[in-house]
Amino acid sequence: MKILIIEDEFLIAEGVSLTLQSAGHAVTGIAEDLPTALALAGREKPDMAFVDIKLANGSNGLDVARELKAMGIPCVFATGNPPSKTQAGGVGLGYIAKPFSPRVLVQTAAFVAGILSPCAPSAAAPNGFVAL
Amino acid sequence: MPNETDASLARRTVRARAARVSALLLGGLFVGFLLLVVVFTEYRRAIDWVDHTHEVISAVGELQSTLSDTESGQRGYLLLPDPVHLAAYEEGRERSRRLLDSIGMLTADNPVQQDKVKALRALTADRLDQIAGVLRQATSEGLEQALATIREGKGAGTMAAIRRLTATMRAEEDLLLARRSRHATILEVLTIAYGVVFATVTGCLCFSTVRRMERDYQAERAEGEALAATLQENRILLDEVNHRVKNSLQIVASLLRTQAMRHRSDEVRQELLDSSSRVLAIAEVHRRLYGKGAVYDTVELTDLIRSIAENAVPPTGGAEPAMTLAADTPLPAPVDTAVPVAMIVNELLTNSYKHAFPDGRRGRVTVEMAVAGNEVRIDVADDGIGLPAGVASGGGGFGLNTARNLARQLRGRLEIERLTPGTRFLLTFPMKPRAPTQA
Repeated sequence: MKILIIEDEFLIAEGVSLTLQSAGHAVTGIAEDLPTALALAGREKPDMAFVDIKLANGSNGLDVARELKAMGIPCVFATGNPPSKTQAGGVGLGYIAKPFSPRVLVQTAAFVAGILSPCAPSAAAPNGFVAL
Repeated sequence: MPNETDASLARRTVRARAARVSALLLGGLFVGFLLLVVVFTEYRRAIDWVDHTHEVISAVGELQSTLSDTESGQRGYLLLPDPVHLAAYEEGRERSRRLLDSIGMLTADNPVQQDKVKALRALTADRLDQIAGVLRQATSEGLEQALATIREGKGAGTMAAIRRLTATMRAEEDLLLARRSRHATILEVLTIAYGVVFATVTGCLCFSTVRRMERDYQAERAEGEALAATLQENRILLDEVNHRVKNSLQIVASLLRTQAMRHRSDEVRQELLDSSSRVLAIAEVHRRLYGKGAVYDTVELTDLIRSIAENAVPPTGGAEPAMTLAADTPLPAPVDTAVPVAMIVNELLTNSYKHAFPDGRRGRVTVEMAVAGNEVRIDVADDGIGLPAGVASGGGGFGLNTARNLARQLRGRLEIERLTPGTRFLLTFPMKPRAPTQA
């Protein structure tokens, strides 16, 4: 899958990127705020995005997820402040709570791949992923 | 916070003092009220005495009037011998007797008047007898005889004596009336004045008490709002700190992992990945200490070990863990037990995944946890190629030695058994299960 990472902490973003790449996914880019995320999403057309809630320059991950959903890009929140179902308002598939292990990250990507593509082997929702 | 506590203490002291003063004032008000009742009662009694005196005066006047009517009856009979005039005499006689009894009762408290009543009774009886005698004479001996008796003047003399006596009685009662009326007036003024003062004092006291209570309530409310605001700030601060810690742990784990993946040396890469895994094991404990429904000093071991076991599996393949859990009841543990347990289980599992299945060998890793009394037993086993003999008997690398030291820290032990095939690590340690504290 082509995955967009939206995270303002570079060290976390890089770790996530390397983990997903080692699992065979393509990382289309790393964005730290809403404008960058939308620009990358428009240009690269990722299959999904991992989105942190607290972003740089006052951006909010919930707003990013709302915009990406409108572009047809599903999001999973990767955050230390998990949103409630009420807050998320149907804009994200679910969340994985920081600090998450590489295993949870990779299994969540596989789970989303299963949802998006009937051809891909479907995976069960991993422990550590909470659906919204 | 100390300022708010001091203010509360000061207010409580003032309130206690005010309560004592209020109690004293209430006591005073009660006594004052009793006095008011006494004064009013005296006033009512004075009024009753005034009414009583009027009754005496009225009764005496009525007696005189009755005797006059009786005399009129006699005159009427002499002019016209009609039994109707006799009836007037009889009625007058009866009424006179009742009036004398009444005057006697009303003046029972007055010895001077009592003597006069006695004299009046005698004079009245004489007069009535005289009238009766004249009427009898008129009937039996004729009118002229009756008139002759009247002309003697005895009856007039008796009536004059009666008038003089009733006049002195009325004068006495008039004196009493004047005195009693004055007394009643004084008591009336006293009652009204006292009542006004009492009502004013009570009103002022109530007003000041209500105002004080209002001020007190406002101060308490303000303090409560300040405390609630402080509590909310602390909650926000705690949430922020928790978020920062989670982020920082993720950064450290991610940094180590990134560094590992960029390093050319396989040995260094593995060490860095192991370190990243250890950080994530500690992070699992932290995640359970803070957040919705969490308890700040207690971690549920069964769920923790399950997460550690799942996270230890390499993300891109490897043997899946099979985990057998302890009894159904959760096993809460203090945080200073949970951290070493998480580290040890993580070490043992990553050890198995790293060394037990080389060259793509498939296998199984099991984790079992059981509680017997106050002893916890965690069994990590694999069916891999097994540990070298030297390692099982006390050797090993940084990870295994760390696990042994942490087991000692738990006042437990770590036993290593070589299986056929595979290896078994048995961690046992004593623990008194803690009841979860309320969040």
